[in-house]
This record gives sequence, structure tokens and C-alpha cells, in this order.
Amino acid sequence: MDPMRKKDCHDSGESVRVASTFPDEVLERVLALVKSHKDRSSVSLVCKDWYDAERWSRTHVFIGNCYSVSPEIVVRRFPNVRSVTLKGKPRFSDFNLVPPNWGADIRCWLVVFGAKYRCLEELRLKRMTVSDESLEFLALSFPNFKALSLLSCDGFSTDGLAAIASHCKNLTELNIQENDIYDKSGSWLSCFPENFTSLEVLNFAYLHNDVNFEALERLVSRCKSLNVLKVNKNITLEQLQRLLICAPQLAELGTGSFLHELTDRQYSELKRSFNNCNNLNVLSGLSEVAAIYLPALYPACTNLTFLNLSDAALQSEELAKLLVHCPRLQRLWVLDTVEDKGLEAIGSNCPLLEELRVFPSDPFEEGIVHGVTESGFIAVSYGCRRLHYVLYFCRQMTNAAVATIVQNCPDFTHFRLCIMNPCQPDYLSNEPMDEAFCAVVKTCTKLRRLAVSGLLTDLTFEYIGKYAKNLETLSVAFAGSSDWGMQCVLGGCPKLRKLEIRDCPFGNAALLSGFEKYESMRSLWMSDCKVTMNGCRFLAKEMPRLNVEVMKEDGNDDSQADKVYVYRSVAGPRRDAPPFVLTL
Amino acid sequence: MQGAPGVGAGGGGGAVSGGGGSITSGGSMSTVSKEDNLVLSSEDSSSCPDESELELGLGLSLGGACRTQQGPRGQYARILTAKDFPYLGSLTSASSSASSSSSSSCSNSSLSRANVTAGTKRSADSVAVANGASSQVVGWPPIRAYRINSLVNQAKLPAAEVFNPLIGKSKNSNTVVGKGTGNGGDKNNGNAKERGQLRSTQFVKVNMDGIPIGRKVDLSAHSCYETLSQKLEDMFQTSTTIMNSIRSSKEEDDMMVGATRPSKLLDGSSEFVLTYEDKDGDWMLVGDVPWGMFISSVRRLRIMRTSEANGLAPRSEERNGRQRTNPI
Repeated sequence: MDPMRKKDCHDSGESVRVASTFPDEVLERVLALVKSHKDRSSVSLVCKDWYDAERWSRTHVFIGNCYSVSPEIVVRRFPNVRSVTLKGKPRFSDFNLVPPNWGADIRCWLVVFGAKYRCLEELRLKRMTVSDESLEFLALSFPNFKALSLLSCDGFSTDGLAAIASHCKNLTELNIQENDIYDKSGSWLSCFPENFTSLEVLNFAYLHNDVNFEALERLVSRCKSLNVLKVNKNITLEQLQRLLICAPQLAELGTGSFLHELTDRQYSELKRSFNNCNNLNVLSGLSEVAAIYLPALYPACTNLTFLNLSDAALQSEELAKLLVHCPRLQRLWVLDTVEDKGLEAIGSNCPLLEELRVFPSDPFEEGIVHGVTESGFIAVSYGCRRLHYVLYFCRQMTNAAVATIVQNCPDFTHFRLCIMNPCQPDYLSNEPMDEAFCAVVKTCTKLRRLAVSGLLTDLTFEYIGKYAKNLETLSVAFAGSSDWGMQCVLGGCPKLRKLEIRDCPFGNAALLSGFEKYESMRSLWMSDCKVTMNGCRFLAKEMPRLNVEVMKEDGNDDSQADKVYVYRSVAGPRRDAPPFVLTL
Repeated sequence: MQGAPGVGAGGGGGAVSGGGGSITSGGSMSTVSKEDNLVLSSEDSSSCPDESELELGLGLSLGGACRTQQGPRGQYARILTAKDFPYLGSLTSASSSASSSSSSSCSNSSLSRANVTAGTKRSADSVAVANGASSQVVGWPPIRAYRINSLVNQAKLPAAEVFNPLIGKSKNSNTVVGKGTGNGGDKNNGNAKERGQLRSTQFVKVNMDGIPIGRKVDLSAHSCYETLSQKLEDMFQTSTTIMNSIRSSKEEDDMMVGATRPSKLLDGSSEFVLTYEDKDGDWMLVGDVPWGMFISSVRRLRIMRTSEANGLAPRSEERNGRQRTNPI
């Protein structure tokens, strides 16, 4: 959005007249080029004409909380939408903190879209409940439907996918990631008609059943525009090689299992196929990896910008050898099987790295636990100065280490540290981890997302409130000493949008200290804190434009509010709340 | 635009201007009484400033008390109890899991709640042995279910190809995170593959009456009732310490051979009988249906005392029709 244009409109004394004589058609054409949602929201507030022009020209709508608005309101305001992104349940539902059948069902949206958005092309859902019937309705109701992406959704089976494959003649994207799907069989893949050729993105990496390989091979061969292919673990190396021959143009590849025994000839064929993949930017999969076959990949790694090894239990030497061949890496996800030595290799080989995620291979400590420590993280920070996004699961950390890390990498925008044992102090000094997060918020002025862990007192939250001026998302668990902590955050962070808290000693005083702030936020989640029903009722009464929902669990004290979810909404209280959700 | 009543539709600070929709305030509001004001201002004794110093004091002793350097890999002994955290209130450590293990986690409030949580993600009878506290808390560490399930499957690999010493067999049901739909990971791996390599697995829980700690067994490693039954007899005869279970999980790779001795669990001669819960939630006697049908409908196993399995005809008689036991 060109800020100059807006300024001209305001600065000139005849701003009103100028705006009203500006032809709508021109304005709409110009606004069609504005893509960012924030910018579009700004545009819509300028004046009535701009509001109208913006709403007519909007083709993509992003709804971060499906209950903040109703489908009727959306279709009334934006008549020409072709692409919708919807997010449903609170994020902690990914970790089983939200009981099943909570809601966020796509059905009521689809019914309305079916009537008003006949030209709907794209639907991207995150944490929504989607039934097979909904998928079938989707497939049959929108003749131009092109792209379906489901992330962390539930409620559907592979039958729903079969409906999509059978009926969506213009499908370009089918992206099934990490869902709670009832995987009945792989036959859905065979439902793509033989004359269907438009597919560009196919991701079924997280489905477990076999698909018919010949059908897959034919599909890949005839879809000449395919540039993203992520297959599941059941696809063998030999089959992968055949797929690569059909689709050397792939930009993103997710392999199947990298384990099957190969003859020498098969191995060199595989290597040759990878050699032909010159466009590969993203590589993932590699589950069940036999390290001896990794070198087959090397020729394809030259242009890799994103390498997702979070399903591959690699050791440090194997990772080191692989990274030598990936000079352009910007994003890397690994399992902590690579240990600190592997992280040192990352520091040495990936100077352009911007994002690192280290996942735990043994989160429940059932084996002999190694994993990564603070030294690995420090090593990465010395080598990868451009690092701005980190997700790090570890079992020990020190305040001094974090201070060093952020000194090396002051540009963090996303800092998510998970010390896996709750309430664990600095293991060397035995002090709380307050100073670590103080260093983070003081040094990283661009910080937008923060997840804290370890033993933390209210001091951490004082620092956050005082210094984290750009913070938008904060995740807190097992931390803080009193209401004061949360009050500091709510009284500080001006850009806070999402606050999610579990198992902290924050009660009603804390909850209510932010009541004016919640309307400028997307949502607040508090579970297993010290909030009571009375506190929630008070909040609901004072702030009628907020939905204050409490989830009750059986057998607990009725005055305690176990799980509280507060969010702003123009749609009023939910009409589809299940019995265990009380809207106050 | 700070503070503007926002709507998600605009992302960020977007607003529906021009009076979008009337808002009905939800539900009934109770009147706020004086009592509530007291509640609001002083409910938490933890808001008094002394508490924070006390907290730091506790923090130090907490650190000192609980941080024992266990060998080179720092397994932290979790000996915190509820009284270390007075602000977590009077939700006490009376939870069953804390009492029967030598350790308790630091967040007993969520622990005791976790035990009564509807849609339990861990069965109450599987108790974490003295490991890290992270295994005792619902939804912690914050890892998505699909990743946890795939970690379980990673453990099941031919030992010759990949050696992964880090992932032992899961013994408690933390890996069962199907969001109330039963064994989430297991149902996705229902089909045993006969391709000379074990590529998909079907772990189900096994509990034996009288033993509080459950086990898990991979049904895809068996092709008949006899080997399964032998495996279970071996599992529950040996002691249930960690090392033994890891050892037996490695041995399982060798247990593919056909049965050589009749299983006592199957022929009715022992004081225990093997039962399973099927997809409909009913408890059935193991052995009546063909193996393939059993595999596709079994959700979990229970080794039940014969005396409790009342009303069952001896197995050697009628094979048609199902014998129904009382659901647990």
C-alpha cells in the first residue's frame, strides 16, 4: 500500500471532495493490488467510499477466529471472495487441552458460502472440525474449486478426500497436513479421474495407508504443473525414484521412508534422479532413514532453502555430512537426536539460516535421554547470525546461555523455548530463568512471538510488559508467582493479540486487569489457573462485546473456572456451544 | 486503531466499521456482590508481596532439593510436592498417580485435574515410573499428536538398518492422544504389512489385573493368537522395571516365529483369561474370530482374572457367536 496516496488524501484541504470524485473503478483496480490484510483493514477505515471499494475488491478473507464473526456477516460485507482462510479452535487444542466436540465446525460456513460464494476457489482451514459430508458438499457445490488445505483439523476420513478427488475437476492443491483423520484406506487417491491434470500441490505425507502406487505414478506423470509432492512413509525408495523421473520439475518434495534395501544399480539410479531435480527448494519426509542412502540426495540439495528433518532420527555426523551440501539453507527443522554436535555442525555450515526448530525425539523420557542442551543453541547462535525464528525443546538451560544467544542474534522475531521439565531453574545457578527472558525482550526489539518456560517468577512478566513492545503472541505455562505477573503483561505489551496461559497462579485480579485490552486482542486462553466463575461473570458483564467462555470438567469444584477462553466477537455468543462450554 | 472493537476478518486491528451487527451480550449475568469484590481484590493470598520472596526462597531450596545430578545425562529427580507451591492452592497431591510413585510433579493441581479430566488422554491406571515430570502432565511438552504418534512408530524398525537407542517402547499411555477417539495413533496403523519389513505398527495397550502398570504390544509383529499370547505371558511374568521392558522390546523383533508351546492364556487352564475391547467398546474374549478380523477391531487388551469373566463358556466348546463380558 503506497502510504503517499493516503497522505495526499488527508493532507489536502479538499480531502473529502477529492475522495468522492475519485472514480470507483480506478480505486477498485488500485486496491486490488493491496494484498496485506492489515493494509486492507486500514484502507477500509479511511472513508465510506474506500470502505466500499475495498469490500468489493476483496478476494481473499482471513478469519483468525471463526467465532469472531458469522458467515452471514462475512458474505454480506465481501461479495466477491474467492479464497477463505479460517482458524477455529484455540491453539492449546493441539495438545489435548480442549475436549472433543468443542465446535469450530466448517459446516455452517460452507452452507452460507454455497449460496453466496459460488466462485469459491480456495479454502484453508486450521483447527476446524470438518466432516466427510462437508467435504462432499464442498466438492459438489463449487465448480471452480481449486485449493484445499487442512491443518490440525479433525472429524473427517479418507472418504471425504475421495469425494474431493472425484468431483473437483479443477483442483490444483490438496494439502492434508497433520490432522486427526480417520484413515480408512488409501483408495481416495485412485479417485482422481484419468483425465485430471491440473494438480500442482499434493501432500499426503501424514496419511498411513497405502495408496495405489501405479495410480499415483500415472497422476504424477500427467500433472505437468505439479511442483509440490509430499508422499507418505509407505512409498519406498524405489517407488520414489520412479516418481522423480516423472516429475523432475518439483520444487518441494516430501519423501517416503528412506530405508528400503537398494541394490547398487538402484542406488545409482536414485542418485541420478535426484541429480535431475534442479528446482528443489524444500525437502522433507525422510522418515525411517538409513543414513547410508542419504548421499543419494546430495545432488538435489544445492538450492534447498527449507530442509525438514523433523521426522528423521539422524545422528550428528549424518546431519553434518548432509549440511555440507546445503549452502543456501534458510529454514531447518531437526530432531534432537542430532544432539549438540549436530547443532555445532549447523552453526558451521549454515550461515544463511533464519529459522531453526529442534523437536524432541523422546519427550516423555522413556529411553535414555540425550537431546540437546544450551551449548548446542549457543553454537548455532555464533554461526547463524541471521537467525530470527527458533523453536527449541531441551532439558536444561541457563540464563547466561540465553543472554549470549540473543546477543549474537538480536533480530529474533519468534523465540519459543521449551524447557521440558516444568518449573525447572537455571541448572547451574539454580536461579529462576527470569534473566534469560529479560535478555530476550530487552535485546530483541522486533520480537513478535514468545513462549517461555522453566522456573519463572513475576519478574519475567515485569520485563515482558516493560520491554516487549512489538509482542503479539505470548505462551506461558507453569510460570509466575502472583496476579502481578499477568497484570504487567496486560498493562504493557501494546500490540498483544494472543495470550495463552496454562497452570499459572493468575486469578481474577489478573484476568480483570486486562478487560479493556481484550477487545484489541484476538483471544485469551487461561486453563488451570486461579480464575473463578465469579471473575469470569464479572468480565462478561463489563465487556459485552467479548465472548467469555468457560469449559467445565466433571468432578471439579463448581466455583473454579478450569478453562477460560475469551475472545472478541461481532457475532455474539456461540449458537453451537456444546454442553460443557458455558458462555457467560 | 488500538482498542477498536475488532473482528478477525481484517486480521490485525481490522474493524467492521459502520456498525456491524448488534451484539447481544451473552447469557445471564449474576449480580456482582460485595463478596465478589472481596473475591476480586484479595482472593489470591499469593498477591501479597512477601510471597514472592518466599517464592524465591522456595525456588532455591527447590532447586537444591530436586536437582540431583543423576549420572551424565541429568535425569532430574522430581521430588516436589504441592506444599512447595502454596499458590497452586489446596488442590492437593492426593492424586493417585503421585502416591504410588516415588516422585510427584511440581504442578499437582493440573495433575489431579488431569486424572479426572473428561476425555482422558492417559488412563488412570498407567502410572509414570520415576521419570521426568513432563510425562505426568496433560498436553506437556507441547507437541502435536501426529508427531508423538510418529515417534512411537520410529521405535519399530529393523534393528539392522537403524539403531535408535533413544526411543524405548512407550509404557504409559502418554502416546495415546487420539483426542477422545481411542488409540489415535494405533487406529491409523491398523494394517499389518507383509513385505518382509515392518513398516507400519499397531501398538495396543495391555493391562493385567493386579498390576498397576500397563504395557504396550505391537500386534503387527504377530500373525496368530499363539505368538501374541506367548508374548503377553512373557511380558507379564517378568518384572516391570524399565530395563526389562526395553530388553523385551528389542527381543520382540525375534519373536516372529510360530508357536512352539501352547499358551495357557488361550486354553483356559490358567487363572487368567485374555480379553480385548473392540471398536464398539465391548469386551470380548480373544480367540473367537479369525486373526485378521481381530486385528481390525481390537482397541486394547486386558488380561482378566478368570473368576471375573463370569458367564463365559469354556473356549473348547462353541466357536460361533460372541461371548460378551461386562464392559469394564
